Amino acid sequence: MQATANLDEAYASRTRLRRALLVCSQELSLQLGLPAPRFPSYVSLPAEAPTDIQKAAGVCNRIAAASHSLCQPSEPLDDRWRNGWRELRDNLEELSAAMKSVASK
Amino acid sequence: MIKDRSIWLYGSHARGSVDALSDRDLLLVSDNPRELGSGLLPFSETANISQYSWQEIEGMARYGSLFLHHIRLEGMCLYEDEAVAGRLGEVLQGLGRYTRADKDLRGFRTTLNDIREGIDDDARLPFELSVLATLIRHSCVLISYLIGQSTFGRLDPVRVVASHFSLDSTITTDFPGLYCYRLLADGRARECMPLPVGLIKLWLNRADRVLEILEVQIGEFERNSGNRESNASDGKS
Repeated sequence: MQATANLDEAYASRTRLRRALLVCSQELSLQLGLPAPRFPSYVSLPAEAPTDIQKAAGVCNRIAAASHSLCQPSEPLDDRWRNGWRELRDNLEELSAAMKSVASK
Repeated sequence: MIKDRSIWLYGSHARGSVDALSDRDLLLVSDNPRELGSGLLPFSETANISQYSWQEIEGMARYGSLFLHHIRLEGMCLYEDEAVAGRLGEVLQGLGRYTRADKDLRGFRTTLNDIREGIDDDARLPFELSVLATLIRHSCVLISYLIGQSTFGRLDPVRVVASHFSLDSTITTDFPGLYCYRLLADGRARECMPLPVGLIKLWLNRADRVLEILEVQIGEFERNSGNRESNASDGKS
């Protein structure tokens, strides 16, 4: 989470956010024995996946949706990043807790 | 709610250089971005859409946004609501020089360090290569602007920089192989040729070289801009 918190470096931060989403989706896939995605994407899990993994995937997908607006394809906007960060931070904290729960099993 | 949409086409479709890998780049400016779903854009499902509010666009114009320079160079207005007819055109007409190149350079350097840290992890390699390709292209777009040869195509900025600075021509011939990973990340390519470890290291070194060139060009651009402004104020007095 700290890696994405530099509010004055939208260019580096948006890439770090996408990298974090990739690592999370790969870890969740690994836990279920599914093929790991090569790029950040929405996590799609089988309905029978354990609740804690479903929960982490849900947070991951929420962040991916929020990052769609934050990470414009054309130009990184520091102001948009700064404003969007507050909302994103809560989701990242939730994701961090969810991933710890998944990893501890 | 005031209808305030301005919709512009830019990129390969606007330049007329479309190929099988091209996507449709659209700029939507509106303070009501939900307007997008109104059926005005039948191709919005397949387009790469950048959305900004009018306030954001005006803020970007104040620092001479490189993206707005891109739109000015090759953008085509597709549609404007009556309330904002001509508004973006006026912003583009008055666009000043880009003033955030230094900041971009810092972001590129930080990102290149991040890539170096992650590139040995096989699971992350395709992603890191896509980021590296994007970073090199963005750096070359910026350099092409600073040297007065602005170009925003997929591969052309690298060609312009390699030619202008007499870099080894293999950087131009190799670049499509690296950029394939960016296209893969976007879903525009199905597979890419694996890059040997030696070539990946070479690309990291080439990225360093491009950033060195960028740093020098930022300094020259700032000096030249300062001189021009100084001459202009001398001329007025």
